[in-house]
Amino acid sequence: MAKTKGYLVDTTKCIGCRGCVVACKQWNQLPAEQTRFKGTYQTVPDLTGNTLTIISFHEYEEEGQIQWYFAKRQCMHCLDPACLKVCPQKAISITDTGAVVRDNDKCVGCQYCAAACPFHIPRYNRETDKETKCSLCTERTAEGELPACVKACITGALQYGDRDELLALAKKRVSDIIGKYPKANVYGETQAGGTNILYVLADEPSKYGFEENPKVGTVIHAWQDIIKPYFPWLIALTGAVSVFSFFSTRFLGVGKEAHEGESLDG
Amino acid sequence: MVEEKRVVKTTLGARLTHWSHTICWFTLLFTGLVMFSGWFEWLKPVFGGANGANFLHRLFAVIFGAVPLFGLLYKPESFFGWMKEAARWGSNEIKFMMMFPFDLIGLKVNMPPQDRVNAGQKFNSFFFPTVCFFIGVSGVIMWFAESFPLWLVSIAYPVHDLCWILGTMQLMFHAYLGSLHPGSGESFWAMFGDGTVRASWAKHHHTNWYNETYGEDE
Ligand code: SF4
Ligand code: SF4
Ligand code: SF4
Repeated sequence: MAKTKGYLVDTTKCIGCRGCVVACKQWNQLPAEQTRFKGTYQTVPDLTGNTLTIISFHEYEEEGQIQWYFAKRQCMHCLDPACLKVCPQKAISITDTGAVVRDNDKCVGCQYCAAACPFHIPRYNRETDKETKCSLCTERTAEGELPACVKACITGALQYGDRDELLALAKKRVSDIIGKYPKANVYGETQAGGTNILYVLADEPSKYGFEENPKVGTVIHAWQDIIKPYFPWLIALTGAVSVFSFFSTRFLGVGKEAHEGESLDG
Repeated sequence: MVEEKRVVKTTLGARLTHWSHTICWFTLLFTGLVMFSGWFEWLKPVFGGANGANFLHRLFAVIFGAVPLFGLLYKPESFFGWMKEAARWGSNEIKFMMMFPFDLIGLKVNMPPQDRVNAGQKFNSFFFPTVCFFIGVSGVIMWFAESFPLWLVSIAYPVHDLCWILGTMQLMFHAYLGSLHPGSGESFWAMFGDGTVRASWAKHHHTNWYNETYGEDE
């Protein structure tokens, strides 16, 4: 497999400061959004058409103590992206470093990608009538710069690099902490066919709001792989039957007998 | 030639709806194909790019939905009358449907007497509105995708595609049977013209209806 790049999110090092969220907004020049206090420390509730990354907060009471789980959320930059497959405008492509990017000029805001993404990432922006998602800061990395969020991270929880190296690093990290966190695991190695964004999780993915085994929905598959390629031929078939009937009825002469000589000009 | 007696088969309202639907269906079909498959790339410039096509698709979708809704509110009895007419199924209808494939390829069959609309047309009277209903509902969901749950949106896409394909299949048959199929000329010109057909034709093709409406005798 070609060498691809991404970053590693080591959730055990994340302190939930949200520096990455602000950096992303700043770099992408996205407006801040009014939010309401909902009794959680997670100030930004969800990704939106103007918010490409968030830190999701998950609070649990374990052994009488409050436990926090933080996980950065953004496009996972799948190795085999479903969003790319369904986009009717071919607006989504993979760069030579493996980032999954969306061409703003080609995008028509149909939101097909949003329905197909196994991680529920792309969001619609009503003002621009386009879909939005993280680009892995392609414009920055092409210049040798780090993605804005990675650069902003003060604890070293975000690390940019080659996927193979990050994967090795993540596995090593998991083996280091497995004593303290027996359920520690690497997320993104195999999920949805593998992603360029990798995570070290200290506990089961579900505790972080991740799906254990995210998949592209069956209906999306049926739509893309069965209905779209094969069903339109049924129209051609009805056309062919009509043409056949046009000739066979005239050839067999039933038109005259059974219909008392009526025809178009009758 | 002596002018033959003519009888009214389709009303003005029915004819207007028919043609507004035809125009809408084809505009929706071609503007939609741009989003459906790369094979129709070449169509994009015709509609002013993908955005132009999407705009037209939505505009005609509104007309396509508004016309029958208006009709339903304005003259509900005409819609329910139609449905009642189409719901009249008996052995003649079933026989017609079973013999139809033979008639289609040109074998000689003796069709049982039919009402104003024959069994095939009755079938379509349910089939086509059902298809349109699902196209409309899935279309609204796709249009306002961000306001609906994702699972529903992902179902809307295949439903929309499946229904326009079924609808277009039906339309192809309908267009052929209503024009170039032997014996359809009369109905064809009725749809294009003033809605009347020759009495003898009506008696032959839609015997029951003719007898009920215009009496057994000439
Ligand atoms: S996470 Fe979703 S949006 Fe990102 S590459 Fe994968 S499928 Fe596409
Ligand atoms: S919203 Fe844009 S990127 Fe997403 S599928 Fe539609 S055209 Fe492609
Ligand atoms: S890589 Fe860039 S666009 Fe993506 S979350 Fe980080 S800062 Fe935002």
